Amino acid sequence: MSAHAPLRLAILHPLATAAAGDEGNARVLAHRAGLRGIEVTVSTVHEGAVPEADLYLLGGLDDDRMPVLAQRLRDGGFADRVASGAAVLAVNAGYQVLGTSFVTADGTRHDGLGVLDVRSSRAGSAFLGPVVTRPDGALGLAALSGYESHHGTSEVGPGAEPFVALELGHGNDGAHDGARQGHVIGTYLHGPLLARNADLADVLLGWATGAVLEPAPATTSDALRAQRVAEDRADPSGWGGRLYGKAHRRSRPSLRRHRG
Amino acid sequence: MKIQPQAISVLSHGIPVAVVSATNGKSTAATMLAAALSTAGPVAFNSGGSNMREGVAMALSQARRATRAVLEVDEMVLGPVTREAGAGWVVLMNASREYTRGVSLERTLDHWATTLADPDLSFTVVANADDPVIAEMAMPLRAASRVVWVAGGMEWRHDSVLCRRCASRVEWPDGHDPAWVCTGCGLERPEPDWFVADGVLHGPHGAQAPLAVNLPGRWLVSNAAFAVATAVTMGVPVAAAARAVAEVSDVDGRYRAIELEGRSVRLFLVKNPASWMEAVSLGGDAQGSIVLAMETFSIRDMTPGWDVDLSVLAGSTVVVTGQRRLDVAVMLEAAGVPYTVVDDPVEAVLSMPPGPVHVIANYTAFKDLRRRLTA
Repeated sequence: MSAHAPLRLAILHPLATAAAGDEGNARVLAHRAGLRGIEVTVSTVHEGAVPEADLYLLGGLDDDRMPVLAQRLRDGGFADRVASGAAVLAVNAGYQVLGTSFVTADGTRHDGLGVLDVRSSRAGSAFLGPVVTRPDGALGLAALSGYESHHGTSEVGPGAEPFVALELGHGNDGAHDGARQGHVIGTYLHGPLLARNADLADVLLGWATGAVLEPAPATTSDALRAQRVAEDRADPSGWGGRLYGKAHRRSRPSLRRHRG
Repeated sequence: MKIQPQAISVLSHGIPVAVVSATNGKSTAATMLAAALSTAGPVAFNSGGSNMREGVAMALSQARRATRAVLEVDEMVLGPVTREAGAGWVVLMNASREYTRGVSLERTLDHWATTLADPDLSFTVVANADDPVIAEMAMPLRAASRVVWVAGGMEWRHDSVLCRRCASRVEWPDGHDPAWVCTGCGLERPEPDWFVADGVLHGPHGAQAPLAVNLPGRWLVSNAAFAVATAVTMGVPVAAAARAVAEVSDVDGRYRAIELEGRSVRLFLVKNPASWMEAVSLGGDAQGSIVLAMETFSIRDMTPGWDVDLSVLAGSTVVVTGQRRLDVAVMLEAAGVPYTVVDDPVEAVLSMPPGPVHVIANYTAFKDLRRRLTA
């Protein structure tokens, strides 16, 4: 029997903006918790008060329904849950609405939840493509693999720090992705992110349980990450320069890769 | 290829036209409907999946003697084709999320709702009563008797749990029973005009006929129900329509069993979470030999599989293959399903014992494997 208390995961408002597969992060977390014998409950919140949980997951694309997401979180008392010490992984739309403000396609700036000291704006064109980060010593993370699909650009304020530096991809500003503030991580990385990055899943589980976790195997997801990183380094534009059958005229590969 | 702006309008002038759209099953349902209508005369039909305006125009131009037309359409050209073809029937079966199209579900639904609400159009909509999102947008047409409700089933409910009318939660009080209700505004499942019970399709005014489907999969029965219901609404006797639908044995090569050294291989194409769920459920039901073949398609190509509970495959013999096999391996480990890895898809099929082999493949893997197996 595990020495850990049951873990409560809550997926918040996955239908508020367009889905991007981020709910899959919950499957990875439940699996890696299970490897340690930790019982997990996963709830999905579509309306009303945000229930008490140990780890909250947000995601979705940054479309014009971000204000809907922000309002539901506000009405549900999410900021209070975070202040109580819960861990959070917020991707893309989730990331931007947790900041101090964000911008929708019509140019309107909206108030965010203020859980992250991050101010997001909106670029004229989309950032779409594979991402490889640099290893992060602070959290003990290897180079992460994911992909981005967003119009947002983000400035991290003094109350937070950037989540990771980038080798390939745009993220916040071409140099860093996301933000971290206490046990809250915001990021632009989809995948689902944790499917390829078991070490990050374990960091979040450690925060959520408040414990040092026993080591658990991650052989397959590490091999997957290595494969994806190698492919993306070899072809930074994504699959032979063609994504979903259309030639992409986004930023050229040389601009997306950050040397040094 | 560019077409003349009036092409569809000119080519379809004067003949009854049915337009079929959905996230999943539109090719199959359209094929079945074309078969049913063929019992009453030649039919123009854009088979082969060319479901944008150009494909529609081409099909119409190649069937100038057609007395009816069935047009399978991409979700985002429903409005233009319906308008240009003067469609008298619009079939809407289901709508759910996709990750590789670049069009959000919300945008698709808004487009459909706008088309249905267009005061200049007077078609009859054949709508899925079991899908709250489709039912909500078709409800306003009831007053003008412009809706035919089909109990089309709904296994993927994840994108329909919030009412489009009031944003409250939709519930299915009795679990698998199709009856749904909005907890906010009280919107509820309409009484279907057409439904299947014990292998018999029942319709208005006592219409009924045995509904046999010669293709594998639970969804295929639903597709057949839509096809027969629409054909009857267009004037084809129910028995003749049901018989014609029962004779459909393939759709663009998707369902044909391919024999390979004692293995009977069926390929199931998966594109989005709902089709993953259908293919996985079917495989889980069979508890036999399952090959998951995934090749590179786009940066989001493996995302749909993460939305689906793969644990139903535990108990089957599972092999993963293709360039994206490690993605699938990680999914299966998270679901607690044992598997083996075989790099090459044809070798993966041959690694299974003689007998049926259920292959779940994404678009690129499906095309490659079908070509190699039939070479």
